[in-house]
Order: sequence, then structure tokens, then C-alpha cells
Amino acid sequence: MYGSILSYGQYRYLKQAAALVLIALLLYLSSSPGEAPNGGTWQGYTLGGISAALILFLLWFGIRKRQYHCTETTLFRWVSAHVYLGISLPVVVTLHCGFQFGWNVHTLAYGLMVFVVLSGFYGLYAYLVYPEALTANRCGISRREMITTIARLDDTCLALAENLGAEAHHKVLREVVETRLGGTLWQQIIMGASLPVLPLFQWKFAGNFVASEQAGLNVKDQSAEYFLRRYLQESQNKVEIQRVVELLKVLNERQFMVSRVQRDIRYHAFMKCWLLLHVPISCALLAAVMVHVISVFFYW
Amino acid sequence: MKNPVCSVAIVGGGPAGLSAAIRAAETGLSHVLLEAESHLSNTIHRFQKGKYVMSEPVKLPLRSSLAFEAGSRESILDAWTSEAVRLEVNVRRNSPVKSIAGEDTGNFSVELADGTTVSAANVILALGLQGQPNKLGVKGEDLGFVDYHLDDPDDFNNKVVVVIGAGDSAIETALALAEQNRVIIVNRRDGFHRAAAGNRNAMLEAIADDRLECFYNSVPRFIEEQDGRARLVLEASGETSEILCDRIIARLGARHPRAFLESCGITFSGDETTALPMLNSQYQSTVQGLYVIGSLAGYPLIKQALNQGYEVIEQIRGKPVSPVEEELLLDKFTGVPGFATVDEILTKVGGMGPIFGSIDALPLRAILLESRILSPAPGTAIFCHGDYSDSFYSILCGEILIQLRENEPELIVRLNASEFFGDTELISGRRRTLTAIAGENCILIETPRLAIKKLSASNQTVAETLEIAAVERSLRWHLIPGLTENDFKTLEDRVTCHNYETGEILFQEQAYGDSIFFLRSGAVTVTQTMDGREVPYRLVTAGDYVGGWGALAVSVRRATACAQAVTSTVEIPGEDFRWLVQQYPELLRNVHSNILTHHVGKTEAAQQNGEVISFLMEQGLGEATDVLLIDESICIRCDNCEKACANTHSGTSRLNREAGPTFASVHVPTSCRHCVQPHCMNDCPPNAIHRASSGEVFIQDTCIGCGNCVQNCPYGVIHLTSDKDENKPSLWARLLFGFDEAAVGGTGSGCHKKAVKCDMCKDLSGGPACVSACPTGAAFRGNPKDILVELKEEASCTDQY
Repeated sequence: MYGSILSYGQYRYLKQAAALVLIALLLYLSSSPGEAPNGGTWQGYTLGGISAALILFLLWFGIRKRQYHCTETTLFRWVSAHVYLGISLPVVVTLHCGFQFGWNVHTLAYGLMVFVVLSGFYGLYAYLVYPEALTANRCGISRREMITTIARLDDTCLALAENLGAEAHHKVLREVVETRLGGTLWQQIIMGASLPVLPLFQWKFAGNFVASEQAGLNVKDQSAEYFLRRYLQESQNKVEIQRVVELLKVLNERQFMVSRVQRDIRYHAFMKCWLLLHVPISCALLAAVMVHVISVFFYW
Repeated sequence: MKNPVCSVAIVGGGPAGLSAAIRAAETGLSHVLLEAESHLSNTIHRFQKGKYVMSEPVKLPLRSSLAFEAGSRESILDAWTSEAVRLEVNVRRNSPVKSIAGEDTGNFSVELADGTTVSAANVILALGLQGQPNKLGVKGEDLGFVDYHLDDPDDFNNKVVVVIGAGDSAIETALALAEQNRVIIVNRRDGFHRAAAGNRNAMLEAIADDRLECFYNSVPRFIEEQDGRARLVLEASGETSEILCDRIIARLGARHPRAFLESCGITFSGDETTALPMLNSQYQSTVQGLYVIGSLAGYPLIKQALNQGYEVIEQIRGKPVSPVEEELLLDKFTGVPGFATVDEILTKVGGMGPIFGSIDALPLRAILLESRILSPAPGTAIFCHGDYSDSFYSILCGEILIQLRENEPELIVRLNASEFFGDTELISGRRRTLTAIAGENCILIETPRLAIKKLSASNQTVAETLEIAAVERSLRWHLIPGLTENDFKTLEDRVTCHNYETGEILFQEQAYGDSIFFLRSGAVTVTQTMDGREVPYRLVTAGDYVGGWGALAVSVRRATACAQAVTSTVEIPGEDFRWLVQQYPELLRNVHSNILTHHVGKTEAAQQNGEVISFLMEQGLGEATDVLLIDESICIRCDNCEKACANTHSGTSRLNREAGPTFASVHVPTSCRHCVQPHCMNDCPPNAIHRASSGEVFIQDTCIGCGNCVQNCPYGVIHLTSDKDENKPSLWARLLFGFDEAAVGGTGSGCHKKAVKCDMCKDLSGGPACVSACPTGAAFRGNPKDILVELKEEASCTDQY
């Protein structure tokens, strides 16, 4: 109803951030022709002041987010400002330092700032992409309902497998018992996912790490589905065939639901994981900036 | 066997009866207290163990000899029982009363179930409202395995328990027991239609999750003992089945004590289920010497019952005291000339007109106690157009000016002493559509919505008076402001009133229909058929009308109108409507403007939009005034909305983001909709639920935690909890160490649980915290009508592409 983070207030903060960048550029270009732009000129100090103010404003978001009684302005508005001013920060800081880098605390602060902004870019991407993907994956049902469905299908599978002998029952039971949903953040992200981002390794995950295509085949050999398909080929009994087909159908339905829950968990993890870096490194950035400022004034 | 005559027989050992017996014992009055159960105060005894019992209303002084302070169920029961022992109250336990004969003081025969008779000069009925539980009516119904109530679910562990019944109490019993037992519920029907929506959903969910087993369409045949356990034989869907179990708990409702009271000769104020026994100001019924007190007399709170027990004994002793409430009543009228005594107040107010004139002294006193007396300065606005107040006002003296249109101050109706106003919104539950301004020397009685609704439900004269006024005001004040009295007289007998249940059709598309429907209350969706599907495109609420096109064009209906909440209408025949638009051209302009505004093209976007509207209507938005929606396509599931809610409401979130249905990325979370006619308000003993002038329905601190509102809310948005602010981590602890605000909780034992629900953060100037704390703008709160208009505009934009 309000539009997206980016389009808030008819791109109000995009315009403000663009104006800020323009001012910074003008300041940078106004440096004396004979002197290389750097943080020590009056333009450099001004840009440094703007950068420090921007960093403090961006960090204040963490406090503002938790000031729940402040309902006069929406957090949505703050996020929009946070995004655009955060994007403008590397430009202003780079102009402040005049492209001068070295192995020192000043460049450390710069590096941390870049890292925080890059992680923020990922966060923005996650916030713009995953909510819709998550909603589409849910199809109007909650995760709890999906898990309840899996539990129901587990019972149905086991009941059907019971009629097909001990080995079939054992295979299905193993599949049911070994199904993992959630876990550590890393498990939440990789569980049940094909990772095209790691094409070199061609890893596939089916509950446990399997490091090679060969190992993947071994897992398949042990899977209930593989066993049942073999069973289907060998069996001559019509009633048994019907039971196996029915069981395969339920197993497929179950696997589909398990994949949906794993996707749901993964999307949630994608939306959360970046904050684990973004927030602590922001704090480190604050510390580095303080050291930078103090040392600059100490040696002034 | 006949006992000697005693001065007073008290039937029922609850707070009212026990208070009377204690006072009788204290003063040496010969008495007998007849209690059906083996213990006193059965209702409190049945409360959950450790339940905190409130002592509302705080401002009402306690007059009883029985001490009462808010405390745990156990402490109250212990104190009362030891007081009864100390004063040697003459109690006969296990003595249910079968009948009471005798029609005059000094001549009552109280027959007990065991055949014995007690003779008494006076009888006090303090039975409460629970009545006698209905029994199974099969062989074995009284075996030791069979109970008709559940004291404490923790008494059962790893047992097989059969619960028989399908109402709220059966469901609550079954769900409570299912936590640590195998529970089988036996339902005579094929569903749980009688139960409140919250309970019904919880039960269906428990059955779906296999936490409970259910026998539908099943009737118990007999119960017998088998190897120390109970064997229940029942007929389930035509086949005989049997269940071997440890306990059978039948929750089949109770016989309301009204029939018993009528058999004693007591007259009721009407035939409605809400009608009360007719009593004088000293609680004496239409049978002299027969008194009715406590919840049976319409006073559900413990303190009221205790006071009444004391006062009736004093009356019987010949030392009458004026009821303690009368002092509060006199306080209300302080400074109003001519209202110095209670008699003066009751006589003058009783002579005010058809509303108060038709009420007996006792209910009149009760209603005045709930009312406020206002003396506004001339020119003061009592309420303004757009306000969200639903009080009912009666003019004690002076004049009130009703401004019919916000932008036409000269269009005024004058009301004088004995007339009333504010009734329209009482019925519709929506914002004020008029402005009321005080005239010279104006004194008003402001009566809360619930009190006047109760009154109209139990008093036919009041109901008829309000109905007649509502029809006239619908036409003359709302539909056609300025309609002359003569024109109204012409119409009066031609218009008809209708009531529709949710889902009922007012008129069908393509059917011939030559009339318009003015909505007095409720809401109606207008739908058109597009490609064989019903597509809603407009929500019409109270104060507006539908059917204008059909009535003007004298043609078939262009659309279908379907009630989305309980709706009442005034139907004006097409012929009269066409005559009206000729007489009042502004009405014609209004109809034309309505047709143009709400015309909708039969486009794909309109169809998709219609599907979303249908979904929202299914979620009860038709009866909502303000609803929280979440756009899941941009919601990042951070739960900041819940955290904001918990932080601004003593640590407990009133909203459950995850719960609730979703359609086309529109999610309706479990959060209060601030209904037009709030279901939660219907049965609140301390009258703790109110609507603020800006529309928020909220629960006051005077809540006693009875849970009635939790049961009555069809959307499951109210829960009982206790404050937990004291354990809240500091901002820095949350920020640096990740301690977080829990969402819903406060379940610690011994806590004073109260009902909590969304109050739309009425005390925060910036509006609801859930909306302002949403980082992506996904949370949105608004009036359903506005939301529908916005959806329609979005659909129109889509069409343009």
C-alpha cells in the first residue's frame, strides 16, 4: 500500500542522497589545483565531517528500530533513508580520503565501511527478492501447516510401507527419521538446496554433505524411492504394484512438502544471515572511525 | 418429614446465599442454607486451581459481613468456609431444592430432592445462573466414573477420558485434558457449530493433529463397569461402538433456572432469554417473601451478590437498609436541582418518557448507576460528526440541537426534555453521522451502549420505542435530511424493516426488484457476475443505501447485494422512492453520483481485485472498522510488528503476525478488527470493554479475567495473560547481546491474568506501533471501506496499462 523501500515518498531519499553526492563532488573538485585532494584540506575535513555524521546517522538506525514508542515517523521511512544515505557513504568517504590508501587504521576504517555497505547491498537485495519468493513458496499456508502435513504423510508412508515387508518399512522409516528441517544457520541455508553458486564442487545436499557425484549415487541407492522403483520392476503381484505406486505417490508428495519447508527456512535464513555481519562490523567501523578521528587530531 | 418453621431459607450457597446466611447467623435469625453440592460456593470452587479472583467494581463499597478481597480461589474459599463454621451457619449440603410452594410471607414449603421439606417464613433464591447440569439420560449416568464438570485437568494423567458434548465447555474440557491424556470427544452432530469460532477452530485443529479423537454423529447408549473401568457403548453413525475408558465427563449444558423460578410463581420481565425476574428495590419478587439475589437477579459480580445477601436479611429482620448502590446514585445527581433523594430520582427519571418510564425501579436504578449525568454549557458539542462514540443520551431537561449535515449548520432538529438521541449509532455501531449541541439549561443522562442494549433486549416497550424512532430518523435525519413530517407520514406505513444474517441476499442480480434498502446497521457487498463468477466491487455500510439504480430505472438489478454482517435495513418501495427523488432533487443527485462513482468495468483487473475483496470479506472485514493487513510480497518476516506491540503493551503482543490466512500476498494476521458491534463487549461482567471516541475497542484495567470475551471473539484475537514488564531486557542488552522481546507470554503461575487485545495504540499520538515499526511498509491498518476503495483504484491503474 505504501510502495517499496526504494520508492518511498517518490524517491525522496534518492534525491537527497544524490544531492549529497553532488555537494561532495563539488567540494572535491574545488580543491586547489596545486594540491592533491586529501583529508587534510578544508574540503577534506568538511567531507570527513559529513562522512562521520552519516555514519552516526546510519548507526542510529539500530537504536531507532527499537524505539517502539516513537510512532510519529515510520521505521519504513528510516529504512529508505538508511539505504540511500548508506549507498552515498562510500562516495563521500572516498572523496574525503582523496583516493589515498595505505596499510593503516584509516584505510582499515575505509575497508570496514566498504564491507558494511556491501553487506547492506546484499540485505537490500534479500529484502526486495525473498519476501515474494517466500510468499510464492508458501501458497497461502503457514510453515506449521506444512510441517503438520509432513507428519501426516510420514504416518501414511509408514502405514503403506508396513504392507510391503520389513525392508521397505525400514527404508521408509529411515527416510522419515533422517529428514532434517532447520538446524544451524549454515544448515538452514544449504539443506535441500542445489547450490549453483558453487558449480566447481557440484555439491548436492540431501540431509548430509556429500562431496562427490559418486557419493550422491550411493545415497540414491539407499533411498526409499530407489528401493521402491527397483521393487516395482521386480514385482509381479498386481496388488503389491498398486501399493508401491501409492507409496511412491505419497513419498513424492512428502518430498515436495519437505523441499518447500526447507526452501521456506532457507529464504528466512537468507534474509537474516547478512545482519550477523552487517551489525557487528558496523560497530567495528564505529570503533575504527573513532580511532581514525582521534589519531588525525592527535597528529594534527 | 417436616422441619420447624425458620425465618429464612436460603437456596444456594454461593457468594449471595452465603453472605445472607452469615448475616442471619450473626444476627441470630433462624435460617437454613440449602446447598445442592457437598461444598459451599460451587461456582468459585469450579474455577481453575490458583485462579485469581477479582473484586470489581472497586468503587462499590462492601457491606457484607463476609470479608472479600481480591485473591486466589483457595484463599477466598478457605476464608468463607471458616467464617461459616465460626458463626455456626446452619448449612444443609447435598440438598438440591425440588420445589417451593406458598404464596405469602410465613408460609413457604421448600421441598428437597430427598423428599424432606423445609418450612420458612421467607425464601431467598441465590441459585446463580449455572442451573443443574443436564445429565446423559442413559443407564449408568450416575456411576462413579461419570462427571458433569471438570475441577482440575491436572487431576488426570495418562488416562483415557471420554468427553461428551459439542459446546464450548465440552471443547474446553477436552482440550485441557488432551495435554496429558488420551481424550475422545463424543459429538451428537457432524460438527461443532454451536461453539464459539475460537473454540471450534482449536478443536478441529486438535482433531486434525491427532491430539484428540472424535466420534461424530454419535449417541451414548449405556455405561457400565468393566474390570474397574467404564465401558461406554454408543451408536456412532448408525453402528454400535464401545469405548473402554477411565472417566466420562459429560458437558451437556445446564437447565436454566428460569423454569424453576416461574414454578415458584415469580414473573419475568419478558419472554426473551435475557429477561430478568421482576423485583422491587429490595430484591423481593412478585411473590411476597420470596427474594431473588445475585447473578440470577442480573448482578453477576461477587461484591454485588455479597451486598445483596446482607441487605435482604436486614429487610427480613425489619431493619431495612438502603442498598449500598443508592449512595452512589445520589452522588451522580449531586448538584442537580430536584433530585435530592433516591425516590425523587427514580420517580422523575421514570416519568421521562417511554424509555425509562417502562422500567421497574430495580433495573432503573441499575441503569442509572451505569449512566453519567451531564450538565453541558450551552453550545457544547455532546458529540460531533465523525466521532466514534456509542452512548445513548436522554434529555432530563433543556434542549439539544441536532445538526444533520456537517456542512449545513442551518439544517437543525430540536429535541426537548424526555426525548433521546444517539440511538442511531447504538444500532449501527459506526461513527456519528450527526452533531449534537447542548442548548440552554441542558441536563442529560448518558447511558453506555451495553446497558441500553441489555435493556432493549429484555424490555419490549424499550425495543419498540427505539425501533419506531430508528425508522423515522433513518429517513428524516440520514437518508433525506429535511424530509418533512407530512412526507414522512405518507411513507411511514409503506416502508418495511428487515434483518439479515451474514451471507443472506438482499437482492439478486438480474432479478426484478423495485425498491431501495437503507442500511441501519451491518454491511453489504455489491457483486456483479463476470465470466460466470461473482465479483464484489463495493462495500456498503450502515448509513448508506443500495438498490438505487434498480429503483430509479424500474429494471432488473444490475448487481447482487449480500449481507457481510448481521444487517438491518429499511426498504422503501421503488414507487415511493421515485416520488421522493422528485420532491427532493438532492436525493436524485446523490443516486446519480453513487452510480457514477461505483461503476466498475468488467475487466480482468476488476476480477482479480474482486477475488481479493471476497477473501477479505470471508475474513470478517464486513463487520470490521479497522483492520491490520500485511503485504507479504514485501514483508521480511522480521516480526518487528509483534515486538513493537509487546513493547508498547507491557511485554505482551496483541498480534500474531504468522497466524491468519493469506491470499494473493494479502495476509490477515490475528489482530483485532475493532468490529462495528464488538462481540467481545457482549458479555463482560465488569463492563470493562469500551470503544474510544476515535474508534478503538479496548479493555480497561477493571477486567476480572473471566475469559468471556476470549470465548465470544470469533477471530481469536483476545487472550488472557499477565504483565511481564519487570523482566524486560534493557535496550543495550537487546542491542549488544541479542536478548529479545518475547512475543506472547506472561503465563507465570499465580499471575493475575487479564484479557488483552489490540487497542490500536490509542495512547500513542503517532498511531499503531505495529505499523510504524514495520521496516518495509508491509503492515497497513485501515478502514475496510477505504482499503476496498484503494484496491479498486489500484485495479483501475492496472487497467490503464
